[in-house]
Amino acid sequence: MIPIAPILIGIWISQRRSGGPSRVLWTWVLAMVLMTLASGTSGLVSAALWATTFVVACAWHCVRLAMWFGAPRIASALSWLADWTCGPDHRGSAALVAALTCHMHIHDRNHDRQQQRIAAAHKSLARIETMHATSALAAAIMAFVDGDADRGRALLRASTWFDARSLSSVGRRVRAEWWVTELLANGTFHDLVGVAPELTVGSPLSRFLVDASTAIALGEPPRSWKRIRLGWRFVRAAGLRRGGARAQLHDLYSRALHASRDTRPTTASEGAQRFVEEVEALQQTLEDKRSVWSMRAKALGVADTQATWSQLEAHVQHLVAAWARDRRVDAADVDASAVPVLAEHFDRAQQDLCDIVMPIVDAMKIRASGPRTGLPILDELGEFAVVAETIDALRKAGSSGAQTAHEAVHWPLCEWAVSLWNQQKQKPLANAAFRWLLDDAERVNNAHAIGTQHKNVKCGVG
Amino acid sequence: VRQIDNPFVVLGIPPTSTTIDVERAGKRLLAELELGVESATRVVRNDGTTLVRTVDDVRQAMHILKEPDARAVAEGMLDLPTLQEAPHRGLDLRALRSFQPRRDR
Repeated sequence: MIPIAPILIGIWISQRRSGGPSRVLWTWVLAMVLMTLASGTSGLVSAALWATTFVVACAWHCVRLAMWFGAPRIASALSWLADWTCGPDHRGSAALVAALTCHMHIHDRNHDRQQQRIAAAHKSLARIETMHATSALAAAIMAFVDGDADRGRALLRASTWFDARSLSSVGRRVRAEWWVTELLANGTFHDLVGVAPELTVGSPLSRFLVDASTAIALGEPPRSWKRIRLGWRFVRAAGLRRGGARAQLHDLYSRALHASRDTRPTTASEGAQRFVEEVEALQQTLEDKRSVWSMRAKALGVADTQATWSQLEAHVQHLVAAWARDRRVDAADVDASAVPVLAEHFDRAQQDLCDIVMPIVDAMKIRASGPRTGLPILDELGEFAVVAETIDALRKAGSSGAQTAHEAVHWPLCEWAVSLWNQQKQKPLANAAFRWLLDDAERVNNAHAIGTQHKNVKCGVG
Repeated sequence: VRQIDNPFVVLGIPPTSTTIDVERAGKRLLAELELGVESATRVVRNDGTTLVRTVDDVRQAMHILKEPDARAVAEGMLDLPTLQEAPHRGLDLRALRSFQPRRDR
């Protein structure tokens, strides 16, 4: 007898979830049919059918089990059945679970076994034909697994520009957790203020971290219902965690509840201002000791004190550059013109970034103008991620940085994205690029570019 | 030359030291490092943190202090002000993410 009621429930859930029959429905029907057959048989056949029913009905749990055992191929294969968690971009989700499996076993002492996992995950990535958000996320995690954290962060950031509708449930959770924790680990609490809510969907941990960090950064504890919401999010983020993890979250929760103006961490501009004062003090000290130093240099037998003084200034320049990198000082936050040594550092940083990005943009332009001369889609994504990340750094490297970056990059990148859309039919990646270009145009308030990119973004993802 | 890598800091001698003092301090440290004396491998920086000293560091410091130009630069860099305490950074909560690496097996 076919169980009609569970099938109808499956159809209803499927309709509510995707607006039409989807893989969830067919998986459900298959599980029900297998269950019916299993109940009508006995012995080994029945056991095999029950086992298959379990795998079909609880595919995601089986995926987790395969990941736990370090079997990326099996995890990827089973993810095709787990539509609820891994749909709609199954190819991307298969690559994602393979990448996560490699990450989970990154400390495996059996080097050969880990290399096999990494090879399987790269193979899974190479099978991606259309680059969606989940696929971009998988590429980011593989970059982290390969030890290239900078590339991983760039790809992670690039994945936030994609249309989130193609992101699987597991992808949404992973992206939110990785994005928010990377921001917090590499920045300050202020970096989490204003993180778009859609980037934290599906992850109680990320939602709690954003809420708590915002309260700490602004020095304002949440009031009324926001206080209750923070408490609820803490409970959900903490979940069944015990020990150190729970203590860390509780400490953050407590800091957020007792946040005040006095304990508020310094903002980037306040930190930058203090940094400028320290650099000015350094320059002053250097100037003050010049005459005494010259006499001492002559006593040491230095022939050309002026040339050696220049060497000393060059060393100080390196020192200031190292300090600025360490403090992550943005040129936009300081008036570097008053401190020549700092102005020189920012000019050099801007030039270095231009030297990185311009050859890539030129190559993208050439590919866009040629007929069907695109790179493999993973490489196209990688180049887009590097350009977007470098331009972001350029914006921080000087007030003129944003304008320079916009003028040099906007239209070549637009041409490249259009060719991705028209020729390579990589519509999701092209749409992500258009979204980034729209943001870029809005930053410099270029009305013509804003209009064009609005139209491009509206084209959707096909 | 960063202040922490300043040859005077590496050799643990004042800027008034003569060439003979430099040579003597360097040779003593090299001998101690060869013998694996624990105290010779550590240098306390001006900010209170500790730098691990190697044989190469000592040799390089001795070489720099023999050159008048390089020594003048090192002396000039020695008592420059350092950065105050770094502003508060975020937190590393990456271990709380889902699908975290399992322990070594």
